[in-house]
Amino acid sequence: MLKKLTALLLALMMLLGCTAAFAETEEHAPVTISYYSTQAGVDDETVATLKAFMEQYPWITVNYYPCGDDQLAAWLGLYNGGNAPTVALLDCGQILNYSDYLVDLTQVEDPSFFDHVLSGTQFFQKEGDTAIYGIPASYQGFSLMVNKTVVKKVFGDDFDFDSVNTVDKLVAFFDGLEAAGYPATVVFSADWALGAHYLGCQLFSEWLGDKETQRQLMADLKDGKGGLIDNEHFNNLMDVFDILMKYNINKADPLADTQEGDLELLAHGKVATMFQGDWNWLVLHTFENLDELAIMPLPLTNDENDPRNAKILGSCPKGYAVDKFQNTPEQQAAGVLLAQWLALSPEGEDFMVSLIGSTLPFDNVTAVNENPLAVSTQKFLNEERILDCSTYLCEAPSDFWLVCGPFMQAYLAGQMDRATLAEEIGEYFADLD
Amino acid sequence: MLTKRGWDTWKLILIFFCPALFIWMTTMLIPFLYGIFISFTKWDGISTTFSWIGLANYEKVFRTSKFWLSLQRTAMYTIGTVLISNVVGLILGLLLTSALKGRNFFRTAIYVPNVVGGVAMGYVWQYIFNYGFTKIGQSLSIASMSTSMLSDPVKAMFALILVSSWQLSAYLMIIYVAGFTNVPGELVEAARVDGATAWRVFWHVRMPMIRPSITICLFLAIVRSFMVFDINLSLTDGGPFNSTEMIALRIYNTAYVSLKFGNAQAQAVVLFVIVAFISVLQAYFTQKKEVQM
Amino acid sequence: MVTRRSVKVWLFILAVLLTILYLFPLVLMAMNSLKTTGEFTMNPFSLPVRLVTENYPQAFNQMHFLSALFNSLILTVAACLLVGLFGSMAAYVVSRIKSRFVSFFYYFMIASMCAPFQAFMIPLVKLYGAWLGFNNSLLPVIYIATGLNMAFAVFLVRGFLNSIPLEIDQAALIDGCGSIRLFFSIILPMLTPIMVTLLVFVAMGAWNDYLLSSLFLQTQEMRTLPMMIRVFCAQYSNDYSPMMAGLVMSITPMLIFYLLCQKQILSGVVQGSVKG
Repeated sequence: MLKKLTALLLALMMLLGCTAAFAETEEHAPVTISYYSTQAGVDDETVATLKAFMEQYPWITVNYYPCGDDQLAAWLGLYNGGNAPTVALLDCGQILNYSDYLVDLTQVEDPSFFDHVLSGTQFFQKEGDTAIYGIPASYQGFSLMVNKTVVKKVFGDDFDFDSVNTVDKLVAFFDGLEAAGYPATVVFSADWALGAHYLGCQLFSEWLGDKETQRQLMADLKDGKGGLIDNEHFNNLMDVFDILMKYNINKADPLADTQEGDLELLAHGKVATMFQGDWNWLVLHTFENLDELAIMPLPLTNDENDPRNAKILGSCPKGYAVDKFQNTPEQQAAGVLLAQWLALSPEGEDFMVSLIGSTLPFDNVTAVNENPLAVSTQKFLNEERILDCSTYLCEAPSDFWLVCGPFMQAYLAGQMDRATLAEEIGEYFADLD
Repeated sequence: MLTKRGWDTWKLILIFFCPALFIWMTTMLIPFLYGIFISFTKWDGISTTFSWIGLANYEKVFRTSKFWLSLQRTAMYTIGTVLISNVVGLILGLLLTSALKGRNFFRTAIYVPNVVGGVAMGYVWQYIFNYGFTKIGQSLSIASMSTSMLSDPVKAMFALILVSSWQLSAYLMIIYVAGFTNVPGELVEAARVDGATAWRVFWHVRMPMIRPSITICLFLAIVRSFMVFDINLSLTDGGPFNSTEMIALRIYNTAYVSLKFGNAQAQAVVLFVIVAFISVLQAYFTQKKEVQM
Repeated sequence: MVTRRSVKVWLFILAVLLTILYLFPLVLMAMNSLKTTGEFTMNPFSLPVRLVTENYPQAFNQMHFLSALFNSLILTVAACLLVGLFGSMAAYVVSRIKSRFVSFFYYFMIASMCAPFQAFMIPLVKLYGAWLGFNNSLLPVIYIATGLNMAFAVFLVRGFLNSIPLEIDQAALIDGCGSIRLFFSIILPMLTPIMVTLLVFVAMGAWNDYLLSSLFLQTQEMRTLPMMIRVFCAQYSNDYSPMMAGLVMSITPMLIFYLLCQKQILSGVVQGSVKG
């Protein structure tokens, strides 16, 4: 009898034990997810970061899908193969384009991680929609990158970069540099740099006015109303482009440059300035004996009280998004964990700050940024001296730079006048579906 | 032809021909037909449903002047590349089958650019054009050479043709070498003993024997030039200001930058029809000549 | 009067010059693999100041060279075997048998050589990835690479077969040899030169393939050498020097293969047999 009772008890205990164990595994059933990153060139570091994640969340296994330089094609390929990555680091324009397939991050179990995000969530929202489809991954600033070492040599150690706040003062600044024997600037001629960063981001930015004004301009262009040639802002930024062209060290052969070559000129004081942004650190840090670098505003008008002349351009170009199209709810939940961890954990922040050299729009950043350009961006961000260019990044057609960049190249090479340029841009918009 | 009939023939077809046919059908024919289907739809690249829009993509393609421009450009590029690469390839083939010391070494060395693949070579050439030739031009103060070829529309096209021919000619050389090797030595010797000049030996003895090689090479060169992608992407990326954007690059960009997949498929179908037509024409004429020989 | 000897000398000099022309970019590549990216950017044509050998171990590790090499080898060898075998068999039928069925599909295959890869790239992924469920595997890459080369293989080998006299087949058949044995023991050995040519092409294509592999191989462990070269490319920058080192390392196996095959091409097996 006793034996039987003991056996029964044992069996009962085992059963209990089993259910207890089962309950525990059910709470954290093993799940395998995948991560696709458009942050190319740092695969091993990404894998190491993901490993740290898996140690903290042992029931989640993350497969890493690196991208090539054809980022979108590879990402779409994964979808077409029924293999959609659970979490993807994508451009905000793509996230909004493909938001139908992505998780609305405001509807997840615990969206409190957004409390740490200072700015940028609005870039992952559609017009008139409360859903948020991405967590900002970085904040990037750009305008006139400047070699401080050279400027200090020419104008003295206490030169005030904020004093260059009108177009005339910019010209005087360039003249001063040239008089001292330093070529003033280099115009980087890649189609994406001219099309997206100089033209697109400046044209559809807070320079023009508030979001509504920017959207209105884009809508007018799409309706075929054209008239860009009469747009004051467009003319301002092309006037300044004329100045950059005039002082361009590559004036004789403006399209024969490369990104690495231009950056080398800037890094070693062979030119004093270059219009580009803090992401160029990935190239710059490979040079030895770097000069002191920073970003300064590029003034577009002659009104020194115009606050816009004291601001640089900036936005959150990329975000982490979670797929809901080909991933199970369990995978999506794990994906949300990974996305917020990548953005906001000390490890994730360290990756973005120390390795990539990005500024982060979060309130809990402790990692120290070695990228002097990102330090500049952070300074302007803290002082609220940023002209947001998210309208271009999020809402312009994805091929704007591909089509309009070459027009800018033709303009740079002196093969197209401004009226034709304005007309071609207008035609591009009018011809969209 | 073998004079076998009936079941035996079919058995041979079944065992020898059908495996290749099956592989080809499942990897080319069926996907291609599926691609034609996509060209009649509007599709975002992900969705499992396609919205049928009939011929709208084709209409749009035919209406777009930039498509025709790109096609024209591709045709010009093809003519240039096919001519240069075949002439050079033929000369290389001839040179490297003559009794030359170290010809093995030369063949191997000259072919090497093809081992590396287009993308990497395009990048290296970009540096040579942008920094190498310009430096030579500046130091010799030749104005036309001191600016980069890649920043002028006409010269950039020429540079693209040169680099493509540089690579393709070495590729074609192999086929020509194989062709010339097949020309029996006794035949050439006999002609020489009969007092034929080097030119006559080449034209009347060697050339007729390598006609099949020429057919293959022309065909290959046309197809490869019309579909050039790697070198186009890495050497000029379509620039300066779109003056060297060939059709394959345009198709790729339409799909993966503009996200117009139906439109891109329609362009691809048009491209296919054109290349197929040229090839059939070319094969027809060359084969006719072969028969006449 | 030009002597044949002086012609030979001139031809030799011409060959040397041409070789320099064809090799120059590669020498540049090898040279820059021994510099830092910074030095490279400043002057791609300068000789290395000091030999920076670190690029090689860096590239070796960053590319996961051994596993990538292994994957590339499998893909290349498998594609070559399949294309060589099925392609030559089919070419034999096309060359020797008069059949409407065969010639109909043969011309179809030829025409398909004109189809741009972009035209069926997405459908391929849908068919093999989504419908048949091949993901992160070399199998679909091998199979599709075989298919993409099939038309060319049949075309190339057929041309060669047409120059082999039918009498050889007939003699063998009279001797009581079956068609299958006839092909494998008599015809196939005679095809050696063209097969080597074909295999060199197929191998080069497979070895350098990026686009197709990138559609099916997702994780790092499954990737091939050309895919791993991209680890040095970032969105806005390229790390050139280790990339050059990586390129040098990834073309070396192909070069060795090519050097070995040269001898085969040279041996001129056909010369004796065709004209018999």
